[in-house]
Amino acid sequence: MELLIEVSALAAGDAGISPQEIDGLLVGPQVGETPQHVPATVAEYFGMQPTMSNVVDLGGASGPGMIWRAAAAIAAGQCETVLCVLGNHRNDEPPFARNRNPIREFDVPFGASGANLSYALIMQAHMAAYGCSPEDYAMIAAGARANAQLNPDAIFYGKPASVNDILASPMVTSPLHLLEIVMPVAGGDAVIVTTMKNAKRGSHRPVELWGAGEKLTHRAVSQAPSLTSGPLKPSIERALDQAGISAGGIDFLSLYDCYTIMVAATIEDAGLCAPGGFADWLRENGGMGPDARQPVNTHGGQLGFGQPDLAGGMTHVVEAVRQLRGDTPERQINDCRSALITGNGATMSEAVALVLGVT
Amino acid sequence: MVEKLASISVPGPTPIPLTQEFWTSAKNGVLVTQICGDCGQHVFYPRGRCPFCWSGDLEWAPVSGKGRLKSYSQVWKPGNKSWIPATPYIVGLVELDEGPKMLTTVLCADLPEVGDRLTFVPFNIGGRVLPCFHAFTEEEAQAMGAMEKDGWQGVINGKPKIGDTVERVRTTKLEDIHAFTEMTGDRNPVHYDEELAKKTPFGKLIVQGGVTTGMLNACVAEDLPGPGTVFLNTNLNFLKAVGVGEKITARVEVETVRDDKPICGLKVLISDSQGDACVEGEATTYTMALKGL
Repeated sequence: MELLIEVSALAAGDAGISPQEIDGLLVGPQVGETPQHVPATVAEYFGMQPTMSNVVDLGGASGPGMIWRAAAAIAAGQCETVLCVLGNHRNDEPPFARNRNPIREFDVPFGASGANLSYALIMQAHMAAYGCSPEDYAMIAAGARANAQLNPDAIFYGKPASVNDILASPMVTSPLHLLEIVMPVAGGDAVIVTTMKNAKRGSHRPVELWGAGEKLTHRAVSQAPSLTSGPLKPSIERALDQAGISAGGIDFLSLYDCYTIMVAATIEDAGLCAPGGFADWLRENGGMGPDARQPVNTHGGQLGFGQPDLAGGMTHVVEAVRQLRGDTPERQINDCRSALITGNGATMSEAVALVLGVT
Repeated sequence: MVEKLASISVPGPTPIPLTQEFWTSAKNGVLVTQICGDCGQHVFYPRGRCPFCWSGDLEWAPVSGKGRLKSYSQVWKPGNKSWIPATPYIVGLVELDEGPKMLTTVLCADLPEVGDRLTFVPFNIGGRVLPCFHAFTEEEAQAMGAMEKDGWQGVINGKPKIGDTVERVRTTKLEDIHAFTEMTGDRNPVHYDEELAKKTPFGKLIVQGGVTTGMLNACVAEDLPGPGTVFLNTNLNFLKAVGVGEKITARVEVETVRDDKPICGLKVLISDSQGDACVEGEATTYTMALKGL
């Protein structure tokens, strides 16, 4: 809770919005802390009395999922300024989840536990379908590490890793190497969504929500309709369609990257290349850095920046806002006017895509 | 490693009445899924209504047990630490020929390939028989099945059933005492000095305990579980002494039987002609496969 109010105060200060003006609150599940009445618990702690509040429970897609919900609530006239906040601390002992769901009954008894295995299955299927090499995927982790060298806030700032380093790291669950998996960290982030009228009062160039798309397809990896293409595909299509822009015309790609395979699948689901073509696309793109044709995850992504649990998804929103404002001198993309943000939860099953832009 | 799967201690399934049939059938060697009476779709995992048409008309039906490997991972660092002794092991996503997909532990000699044909096999993981799949050839599968499914293969009397019982009756003789002394050197006066023995709480000359309990050796070695059986453990309470010339009955009842190994838990009892319990307790036996030796 301390972390949540800390980042919220930073966001409000940055936006030039006073706490009294915030009348909407979107929060994530507070696993192990507050199972019920989460918005009320957070609002009370924050001294807020919101007219719209809710929990957004979409795993890594929760952050982006909050943004369009906030905009929709504002458009519906239920509130004017919404605080979207996520955070995670690092307990010594992770809270014990007493699951009694189909995954616990039908997957866990066979040695399938944790997200690593689900994404390993997704990656193995992708490799088998398209013949991509381990080097292809490792390129994404190396690119994220390279970008992290431009972000002093990143957990791997000062710690670059080459494709060879990635492939030399221990195999966790084949074909995933340790360095292809996000590093869990503590952290939080908050984003304030408000009306254009209010935004113009702030000290920054307002960033607009141009489009959004969302889709859920399953929970357990065993129930995924496809292992090589996920619900981000229709979500991105909808977001781009609303924004009236093509994927190739986007200036900055802020793509959810819990694992290397997730970026590969997202590049393909966004239609930037044919299925299986992500590695060639990346090479032609000139890598992932700020000088690339379409820069990817300039903050280092979660692979380079670290993943503060559910707050990890929101880092992609925060970086997009900063790039669009021109607020990142150490890694600024030249003339960045549009950004595609993706959020992904569970086993490539919960998807949210946003298009943000500046006019 | 496939060989370690039986001995690890890991979380098992958490069945509810709705799902129990899947686990029970699989354990008994039949893979079943639900099938929808309205739309005809196979449904897995089990549900209260069909996820395709929301019909409540779902029934259990056996499936072929054949499928295709959609993807797999060789796990080196499991999310649940209790799986560490079995690493590396393979978790696969199998698509049954009937359509449903399920996660499973894949049994294979080398790494499988996506697209491999897989076959259902009930397999012991952590002491529970679960629906696994194997990528073996027929010969390999038979060898595996013989090894894993029936630990009683080759046992002369076969696998006993829980509740199986056998009795042996015998009348003790004075020569028993002498024979036992010959064997062991036990020359306790209560077995030899009748006058003295009469003054003890026994009130009579008694046979050595080993003479009595030896009947149990005969029971397990001759009858149940039968030839090849040795004791791994006995825990006996001696309740009443047995004299010379008494008719005693030894009784053995099977309480537990392991599937993976020829090991039994037995309830044992020796009683006298008055029906009083003289020796009572438990025993664990191991029965060697002697067939064909």
